[in-house]
Amino acid sequence: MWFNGTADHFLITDKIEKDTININTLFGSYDDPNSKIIPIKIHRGKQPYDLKYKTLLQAKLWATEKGEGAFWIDLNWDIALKIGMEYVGLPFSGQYGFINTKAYLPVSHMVSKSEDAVSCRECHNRNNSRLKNVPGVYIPATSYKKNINMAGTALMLLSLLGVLGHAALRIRASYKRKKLSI
Amino acid sequence: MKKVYIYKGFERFWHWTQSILIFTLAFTGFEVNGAYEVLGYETAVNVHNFSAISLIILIIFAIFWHFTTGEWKQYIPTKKNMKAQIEYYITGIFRNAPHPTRKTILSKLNPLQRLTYLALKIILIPLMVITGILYMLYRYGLNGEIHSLKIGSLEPIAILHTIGAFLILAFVIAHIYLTTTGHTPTSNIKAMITGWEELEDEDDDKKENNVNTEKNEKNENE
Repeated sequence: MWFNGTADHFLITDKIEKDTININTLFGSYDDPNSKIIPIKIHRGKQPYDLKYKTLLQAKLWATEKGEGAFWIDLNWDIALKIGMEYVGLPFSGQYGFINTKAYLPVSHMVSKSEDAVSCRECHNRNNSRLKNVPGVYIPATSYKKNINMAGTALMLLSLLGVLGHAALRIRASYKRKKLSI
Repeated sequence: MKKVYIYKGFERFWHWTQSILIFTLAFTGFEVNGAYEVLGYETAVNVHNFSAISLIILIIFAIFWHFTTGEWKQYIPTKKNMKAQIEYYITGIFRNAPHPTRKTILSKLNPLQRLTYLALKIILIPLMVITGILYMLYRYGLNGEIHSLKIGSLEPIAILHTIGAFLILAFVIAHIYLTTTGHTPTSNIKAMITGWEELEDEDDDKKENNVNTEKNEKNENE
């Protein structure tokens, strides 16, 4: 997607208003001269959120020992969320649900070898361009204007038919003349 | 009829080099446009760009030649004989009628040709060159750099360039065919290769007017 190097983040104090929230939002667009197209991975998840306050919740995730309430160790959301929110000093109503989230991760590892670099045709082809869903940009061979190409081809075919027809008439006329003069 | 040296060296060189370049540009251009895959996209783009620059250089030489030799005068439009010329192509040619305009070294083009080639020279070719150069210079996402022009989108440039390409192609089809409408079907192309063409001179005009009366005399005598 288009990315100009700046991004927004969903803060733990932000209010949740719709079903799927973006953990981060990458800014950029075709018209923005500072934007480039970058490859991303969309990390989809479900995060706990406070049903009353409509905010995301921070769970305590890690501890070295069992019994300290860390989610990854004790596997209990109620305790982990309570302890976690106390730690960050934010309110927790005790009632929580899970909400769909998306995080847009710029791809910085798993980069392929140079031999596997994309060829021109992978983007510049008529039907199956890698960039066919990128909005706003004109891509030669992909942003194919059907009407113009059809009209142009029709014009050429008509010209061809025209000259062939004209030539045929001339040949016929000449043949008739020859017949008559015998 | 007299053999006349009507197309000199540079003119023929210009004609054939230009036609090779235009054919190459069309062939690679339509591959860039996505119509087919033959050379591979990168090759098509590179050959197209190289041929485009070559054509522009050739055109600069040709413009210089047109002015220094006075050949530009060949393209001055005229209405004289225009109707007769159109009628020739529509009906006269089928009756083996004589050409309404006589070709001379100072007037190589009939009125229709003058108009067509003039339109090509001052409208269609400049359209292709200008949109082509803008296409080449267009850079995504740069902001006010001196060596590139900041235009909103490539799309209008590309569309105009594509339309022009189709028009040129239609012209080429008609042009190649119309070269067969000379004195003989191959006399025009032979002239553009060797430079020499058998042209009617004033004596021929007079002779044609007398031809019918001579024939009548012969018939009466037999």
